Amino acid sequence: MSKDNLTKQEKDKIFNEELIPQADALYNFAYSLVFEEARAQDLVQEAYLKAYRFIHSFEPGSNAKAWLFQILKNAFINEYRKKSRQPQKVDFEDYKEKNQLEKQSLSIDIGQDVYTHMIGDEITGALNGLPVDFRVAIILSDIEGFTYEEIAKISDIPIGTVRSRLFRARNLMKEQLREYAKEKGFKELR
Amino acid sequence: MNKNHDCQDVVTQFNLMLDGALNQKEEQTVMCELQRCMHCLEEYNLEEKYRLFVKDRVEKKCASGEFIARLKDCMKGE
Repeated sequence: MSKDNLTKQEKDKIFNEELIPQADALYNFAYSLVFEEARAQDLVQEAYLKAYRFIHSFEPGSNAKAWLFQILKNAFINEYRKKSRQPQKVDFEDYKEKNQLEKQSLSIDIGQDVYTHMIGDEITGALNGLPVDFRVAIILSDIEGFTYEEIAKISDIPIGTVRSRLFRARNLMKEQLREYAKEKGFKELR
Repeated sequence: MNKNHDCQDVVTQFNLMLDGALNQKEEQTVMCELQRCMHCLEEYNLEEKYRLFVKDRVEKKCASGEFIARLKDCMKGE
């Protein structure tokens, strides 16, 4: 079968069997970027339309989820660029800073007991409070389970940057959780 | 604690391990290091707990059936 000449029926088959099953994950990702149902739906719809139009470049059985996430992330960036001159960036990416950070502290942790008393709203609030690049890193890695290579491709950044961004993102997240814990009256364990 | 044990390095390595970025042999090395240092083991246990916590408790939004139907409708015109 020539992939450039897929019939409508063949396209619909790939769409329904491989792309649509990713709708929940894709919508959750979109919502975490924009925090609005209507805008999230617009982003997802745009991503699916682009995917459908370029479906000949998709290899059936390959990683549909990563492909769709990449398309959606690009759609989000394009939307953002239309609204502001400067795309939102986080300046925590170079190795020098990463190395300094790793030397400053092993990791930021709060006690295990605190976790068991926290509810979803608090952890979701902590995640949503992160800058968008960090939020995306946590979602792609810790929630969706993408590999470093997949995250690098989706986010269009080097693997080393994925690692350093995840390191920073997780520590920021733990700082947020530590604040929640303090507000709840938990004592810091370290 | 082993003379050559570097806690900072072990933390970096077990984070890579939890991210699925190490091979089996590297994972075994990390696990050996964790057994040698209570501090590192404690850090590892906390990190593992944190990862599970985030994965399980972050609210996940779902696409409604109505929205999915609309998506399918959109493709009819393509």
